[in-house]
Amino acid sequence: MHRLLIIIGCLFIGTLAFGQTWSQKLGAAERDYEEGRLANIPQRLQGGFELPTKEGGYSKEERIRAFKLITQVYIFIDDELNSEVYLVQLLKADKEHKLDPRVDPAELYFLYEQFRTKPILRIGLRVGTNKSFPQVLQSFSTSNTLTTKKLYNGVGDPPGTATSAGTLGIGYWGELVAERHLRWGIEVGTGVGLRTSRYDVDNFIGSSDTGEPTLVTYLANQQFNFRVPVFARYNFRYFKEFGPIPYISIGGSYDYMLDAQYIEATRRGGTSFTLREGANLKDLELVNLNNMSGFIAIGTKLRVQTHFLTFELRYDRSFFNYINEDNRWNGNQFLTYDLGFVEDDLSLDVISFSIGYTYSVYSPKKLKEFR
Amino acid sequence: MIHTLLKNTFYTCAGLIVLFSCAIEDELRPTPDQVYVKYFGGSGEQNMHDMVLTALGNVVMLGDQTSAELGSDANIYLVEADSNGNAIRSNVIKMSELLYGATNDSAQTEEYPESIIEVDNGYVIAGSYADILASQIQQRKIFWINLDRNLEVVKWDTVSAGSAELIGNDVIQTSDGNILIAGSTTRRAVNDLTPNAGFQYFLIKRDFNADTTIFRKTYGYAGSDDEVVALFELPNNDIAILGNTDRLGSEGGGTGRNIGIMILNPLATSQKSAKEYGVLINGANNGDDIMKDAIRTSSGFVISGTSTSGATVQAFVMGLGSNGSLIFRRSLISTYLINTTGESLVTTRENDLFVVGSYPKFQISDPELQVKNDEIMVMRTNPTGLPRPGLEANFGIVSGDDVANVVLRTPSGSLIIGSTVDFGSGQRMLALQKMNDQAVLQRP
Repeated sequence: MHRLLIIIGCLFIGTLAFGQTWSQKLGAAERDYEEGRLANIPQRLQGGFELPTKEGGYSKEERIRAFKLITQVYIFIDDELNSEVYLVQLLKADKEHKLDPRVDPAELYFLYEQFRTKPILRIGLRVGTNKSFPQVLQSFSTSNTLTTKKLYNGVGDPPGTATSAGTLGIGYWGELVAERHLRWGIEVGTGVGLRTSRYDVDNFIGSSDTGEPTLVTYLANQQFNFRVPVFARYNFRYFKEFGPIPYISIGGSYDYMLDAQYIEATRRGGTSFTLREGANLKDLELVNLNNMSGFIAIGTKLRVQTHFLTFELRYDRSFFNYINEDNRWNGNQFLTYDLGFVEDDLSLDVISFSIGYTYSVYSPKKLKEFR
Repeated sequence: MIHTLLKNTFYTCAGLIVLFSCAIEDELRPTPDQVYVKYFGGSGEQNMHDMVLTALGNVVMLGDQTSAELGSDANIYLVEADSNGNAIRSNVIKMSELLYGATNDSAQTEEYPESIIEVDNGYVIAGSYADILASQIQQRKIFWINLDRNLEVVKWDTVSAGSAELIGNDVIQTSDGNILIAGSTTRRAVNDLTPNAGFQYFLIKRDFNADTTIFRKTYGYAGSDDEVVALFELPNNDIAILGNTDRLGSEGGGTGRNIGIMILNPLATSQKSAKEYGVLINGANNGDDIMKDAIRTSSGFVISGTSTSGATVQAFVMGLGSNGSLIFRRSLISTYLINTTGESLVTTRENDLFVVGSYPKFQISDPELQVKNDEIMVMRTNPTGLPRPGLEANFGIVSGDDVANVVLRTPSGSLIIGSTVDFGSGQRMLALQKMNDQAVLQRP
């Protein structure tokens, strides 16, 4: 009879155990760990990793708890190899897992500090708009450069009753960068980018006694650049877990001119003239293809888990002349004669605004000095 | 700590400001005084006639101007541009205001300015003018005006030939400081023995200060229209006049208009030499050869002009010795194989010739090049007028009729071309082009 009751009891307990969910099994294992019963905990929890969550496997939070528990178990049974394996699994499941000094044992802290827990790099994608601010280095004109200045992007007062056709000079840009934190909140990065920019010019030629220009020329000059930026960034609240992270960055860029053209070019005065087929400044060798620029930027990052949403305002200053000085007058007769226009020496500066997303890339592994 | 932080912040900001406030320029780029294209004038018509390079390196342009603002009659238009081509002063002179007062609105004159020279106190310009009475342009008279350095009138003078035409084409200041003006007239000067038929070579010497006539002479040929286009004082004070004549000379002049040269004694009382030459065009010598400009060279004179024979129009250059003998004559055949006209010339530092003018209807067979109306023509030749391959260029407005009227050479060897550029719809402007002596708008 006793033997029968024992058999029935074992079957009942076995049935109960067999009917537990992986979540319940994890809870039970955690209780066993608290009570010092460490035997077979890793083995008991393995099945939960193998099932998808919707089929009864661990949820994301449970996977983290399970990896951490197994890591701790292996630490306490002095299985160093497996404790490291499961710590890596833990860090993969929870990219920047934070230990809790109130509950986590010192041994786990010790192991944790031997591992790379920070992102190896961050990949940022930024897109935005820009506004050009051409900076005239030296004025050239078919008119009097002492008395008549060109208007860039419609800024300034046209002579007489003339009007400006200039727009704001809006363009678009985007860049893909890889960046890495060094220390003290300082990050460095590099990448590639594409930028379209545009500036408009009103040019006034000749003058009568009334101050009216004799001819008025309007051109819209558009550029398409491939850029290789390099930058350093200081984050003011880099180590804060919550709240925005304002930053300031400084950098430089190699800029290659993929294309540059007049997308609109007209002359008023005499018989009106329009450059109907446009003019490619690159083909005409009117622009320098290689340039360098420097930039400063301010922005802020908002945490999205371990990633960031970024908002940035940047000022780019081109270091070299946009215009090919040697060919300024000789590039195209339609420009110099029919339009009566010649480009100034100028650095093509832009202010740009961007929205971006920065994705953190982790590769947890034991630090070299602890191997 | 705070002090150190502030100091580092200051140096960082200063560094950033320096970094972002500068851009690097190529020091070897062509500077504005090496290459430029400039337009001058208000609404209406401006036409280039002559210009002079001043001792300061500025260019003073002499043109005419017709604009709605100033009335329908042409006026004398002067612009001075600095070495960068920027206009620094200009003036419009109306002979009607000089003759009849600025308040006499009913007085109208048509001006034909032709020549400008630099003198000690400024400039002298000369040309012709005509009264306009009842909308009819009357016979022309010669004017000359002395201008100060601000292009303001210092004094002025006119010369008339009664009811006959009197045209001034060129002016020089002779070594005695007086003014010599040459042109043509239909009225023979008193006591001259030359026939009085058609236009005659005309020459008048005026005392610069006393406004008195030192001599007034006419020369020419029966049945021939003769006009002086350029005159020079030779080292021995003889006077050389070069121009156009109908005379069929014995020195190679053909039928049609020919080039005439006379060497006169200093008082123009006797001819030391008088010859006429024609230019071969299409192998014949029967075209009209019209001289437009002449320069003095070490061996004599070089003339530029245009020969026309049927539909063929070609610029030419002709070299004459100081005694009037022919050295060379050559039609300038464009590499584009289209018509050309010659308006002015200058020697390069290598003694090549740089001839400017126009391509009447720039229509060439290259499909890549758009058909254009008259274009500015520039062409470099060897010292005897043989075009240098590849040193020919055209400039101008697609739809307008553009012509280079004058060319000067700067001490550095660059060339400054004065042109009339036509923007269409009655808008013509003076233009200056400064380029290298390879006919390219690039650094010398």
